[in-house]
Amino acid sequence: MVAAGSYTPSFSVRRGRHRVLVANGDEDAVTLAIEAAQDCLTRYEGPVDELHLAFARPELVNGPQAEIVREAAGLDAGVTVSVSAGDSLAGLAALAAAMNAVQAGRVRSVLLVATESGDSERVSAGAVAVLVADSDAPALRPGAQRSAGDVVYGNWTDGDGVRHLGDGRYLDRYVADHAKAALAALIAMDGPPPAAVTGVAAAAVATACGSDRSAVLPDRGVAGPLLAVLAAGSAATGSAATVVATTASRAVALSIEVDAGTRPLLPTLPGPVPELPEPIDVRSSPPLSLPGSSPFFRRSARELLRLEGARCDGCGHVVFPPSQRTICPSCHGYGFTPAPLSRTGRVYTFIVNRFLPTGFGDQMILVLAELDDGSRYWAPTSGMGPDEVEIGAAVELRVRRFTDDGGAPVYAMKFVPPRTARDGAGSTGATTESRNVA
Amino acid sequence: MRNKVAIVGAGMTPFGEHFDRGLEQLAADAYRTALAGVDKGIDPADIEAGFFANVMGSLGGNEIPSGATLANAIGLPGLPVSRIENGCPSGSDSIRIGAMAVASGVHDVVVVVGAEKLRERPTKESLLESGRVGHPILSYANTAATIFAPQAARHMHEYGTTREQLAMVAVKAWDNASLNPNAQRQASITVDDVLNSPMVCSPFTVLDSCPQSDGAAAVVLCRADIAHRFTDSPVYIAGVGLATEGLYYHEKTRMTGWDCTRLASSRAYEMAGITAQDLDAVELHDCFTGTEIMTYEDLGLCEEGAGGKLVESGDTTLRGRIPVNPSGGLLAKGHPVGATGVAQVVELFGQLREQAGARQVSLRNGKALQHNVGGYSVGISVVTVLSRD
Repeated sequence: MVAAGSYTPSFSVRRGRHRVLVANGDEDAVTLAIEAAQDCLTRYEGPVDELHLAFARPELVNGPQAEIVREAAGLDAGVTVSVSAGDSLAGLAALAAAMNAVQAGRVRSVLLVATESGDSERVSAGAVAVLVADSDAPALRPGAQRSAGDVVYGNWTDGDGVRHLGDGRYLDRYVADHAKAALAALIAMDGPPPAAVTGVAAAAVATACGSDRSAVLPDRGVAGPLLAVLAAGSAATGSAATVVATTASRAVALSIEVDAGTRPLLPTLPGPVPELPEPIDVRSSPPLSLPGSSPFFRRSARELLRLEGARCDGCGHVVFPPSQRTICPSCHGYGFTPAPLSRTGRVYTFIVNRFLPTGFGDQMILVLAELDDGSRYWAPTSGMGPDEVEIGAAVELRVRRFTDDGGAPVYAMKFVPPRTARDGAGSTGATTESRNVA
Repeated sequence: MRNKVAIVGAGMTPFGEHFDRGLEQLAADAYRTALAGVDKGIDPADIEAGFFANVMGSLGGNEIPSGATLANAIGLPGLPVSRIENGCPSGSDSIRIGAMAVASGVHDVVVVVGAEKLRERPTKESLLESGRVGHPILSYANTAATIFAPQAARHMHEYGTTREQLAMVAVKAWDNASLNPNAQRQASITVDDVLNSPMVCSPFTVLDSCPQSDGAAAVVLCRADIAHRFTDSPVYIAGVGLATEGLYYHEKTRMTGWDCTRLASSRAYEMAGITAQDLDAVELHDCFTGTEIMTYEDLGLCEEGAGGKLVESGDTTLRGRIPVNPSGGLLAKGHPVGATGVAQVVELFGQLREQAGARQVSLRNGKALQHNVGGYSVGISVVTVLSRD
C-alpha cells in the first residue's frame, strides 16, 4: 500500500447512545468515495490499472455508481472497474484480492475504495481509499488474513444495520470468541495484541485480545477495516502488527508489515465536528430540467464530474462546458485540448435565494467564484450557511448530488468550505469521535 | 433603417391580474386598442403580417406557442404571423423584426402584439418554472431573481451602491405608476417599505421586484412614407440594436451590468445618430431595482458605478434631467413578459406625441429610448430609439 486517502463528513449527530458522523443531504456513498479517491490520488503519481469499489449496500452494485466514481476520480474508461458489496469486511476481501493481483504481476496498481454512507444507527459515514502498487519504495505491506465465525442466531440485519435480538452480552462474547480464533489462526496466541480493532463489539474484542483501549476505532462500516489497517500501520513503522475487524457473526485478523522509512499513510481525520441537533435529511430534491436518464448526462458526465474545460489550440482560451463550446469565441478556431479547471477559488459574487420553485426547499445559496486559474464557475453551495459566504471568501468545488430523481441521481460540482476549514484547521484527533456517549 | 418605419397606432390593456381574461382576449383587446389609436383609422385588411411576442408558451403555459395563436385571436386566420420568443426582450425584438420586415420592403403595414398570462398558474409554478429551464446543472434552480441578483450584489460590493438607493428606484416607479391608469400598482411606497418587505433573493426584497402580471400591448408599424395615411403625428423608429453576451454566468466578462445592453444601445444610438444626452425619456428594463441602476450605466445615462447616485439625485424622476420609466416601469406598471417591450413603446409613443397626461415628460429633442435585457441567463438585450421627427 503506497498511498491512502480518506473523507469524513463534517457533521455529527447523536443516535441513541452513539455519536456518529453523518453525511450532508447531498452526500452519499458515491460522493464520499469520490472524495476519498481524489484525496488518495493527490499522493500518488503513477498509473492506476484497476479500480475496486466496496459498498455497504448491495443496491449500489449494478447502478452507475462505480462509473461515476471512476469518471470523477479522473480515471479513464480503460481502467478495469470492479465492485463488491456485502458486510463491513468487504474492503478486506478486496484488499486481499488486490494484493494477489499485484503480487502475481497481473496488474501494476489497484485503487481500492471502501465507502460507507452511514445509514445505520451506529455507523459513521466516511470513505477510505488505498493504492496498492508494485513498488520497491518503503510501504505498508498487508499480509495474511484469517477469519473465524460461527452460527449466531439472534443477529438480525435490516435497513438500520445489524442488531442482536438477545442479550447484548451474548454478542460481546460471541464476537470476542471469533476474534480470538481468527488471531490464533493467524499468529501464535502469545503474539502481540492487535494494534487496531474495529467493528461490532470492538471494545469487548480489545479486552479479550489484550489490546489497549486506544486500539478501538470507531465503527465506520465498510470503511472501518481499511482505516484500521492504516492506523495500525502508521503506529508500527519498521515492524509488524495485527488488525482485527468484526461483524456480528465473523471476525478477520490481518497481519501487516511496515517497511522502515514508510511515511504514515493514515489520512488526516477530522477534529471535533459541529454537532447538529437533528440528522440532516434533505435527500429529496426536485427533478432537473432533464432527467438523469437523458443522453445529455452521458455526453456531459466527463466535463461535469471532472470539471474539465477545453483549451483552444490556437489561442489558449479556455471554454466550458466543452460539449457546448466547439468553436473558440476568442480566435474562432476549432481545435481544443481538454483542460481541467481549478477546484479552488474565491467568491466573486453570490446570492441567497429564499423564493424557490416548488420542490427546491426554503433557501439556496448560489456562488460565482473566481477560480485560481482565472476561470469562473457558478454553483450552489453545500454545507455552508449564509453567514459563511461573503465576497472574497475561499471556496472549493467538490462533487455532490443535485437530485435523486426517482433513483436516477445526478452529480456535479458544488461549492464547499475549503478543506482546512472543514477539518478543524488540520487537527488529527482521530479519537474525538467518541462512541457510547453516556 | 433610421426613420424608414413609423409607428402609427399603439395600445395596451391594463396590466395586472386578469383572472377574467384569457391570453387571446388580452391580445385582441390590445390589438383593438392599437387600431383604435390610429388617428385616421385603419382597415384590418391593410395589415399584411403579424409578429407575436409570448414567453410562457415556452415555459409550460397553456398557450400554443404559435403564430397561429395570434392570427386567430385577432380574427385574421391566414395572416402570416411569426411567434417570437427571446426571453424578456421578446416584445421589443418583435418590434425590431417587424420593423425590419417593413424596412426591407416585404410588407407595408404590420402589427406587433405582445401578450402574456403569468397569473394563469400559481406563483411558484409560473415564471419560477424557469428553475427547470436550461442546463440542468449550470442553470440549476435559476429564477428571475437569481439571474439578476448576482450582478446587483457585485455592484454594491464594487461601487458601494446601497440597498436604500435600490429602494429609491421602486419608490420612483410606484410614484409614476400611480399616474398611469394601465399600471398594476396604484399606491405610493417609501424606502422603508421596500427595505422591510420580505427578502426574495439577496439583495432583492419583494418590493425590489416586479410583480407577476397578465397583459398585452400592440403597435401598428408601417412604411414611413405612407404614415401620413394613418396619422399626422407618427413616431419613427430611429434606431434598433440587439446584442447577446456570455450565456452562462462564468462566460460573462463583467458582473456589474450587462455587456449586451452596452452593445445593443451603442448599435441603436449609432443607427439613430444620437447619444444618450439627446434623450428626453427612457423606458428601461427595471425587473428589479438593481437592474435599473446598472442599466443607467450601461445605457450611458451616467458613469460606471454612479447609478446609485443618479437615482438618489432625482435626475431620473418625471421632472428630472432624464426621466426614466415614466410609465411606472416593470416594477409598478407590471411585467407580462411578452407584452413588456411592446408596452414600453406604447408609453413612449404617447410621450413623444405629448399625450401622456399627468406623467408627460418635457420634450427637448423628441427622442426616447426603450430597453429590455434578459433571456433566462440575461444574455440578450434589445434597445430601440424612437423619434418624433
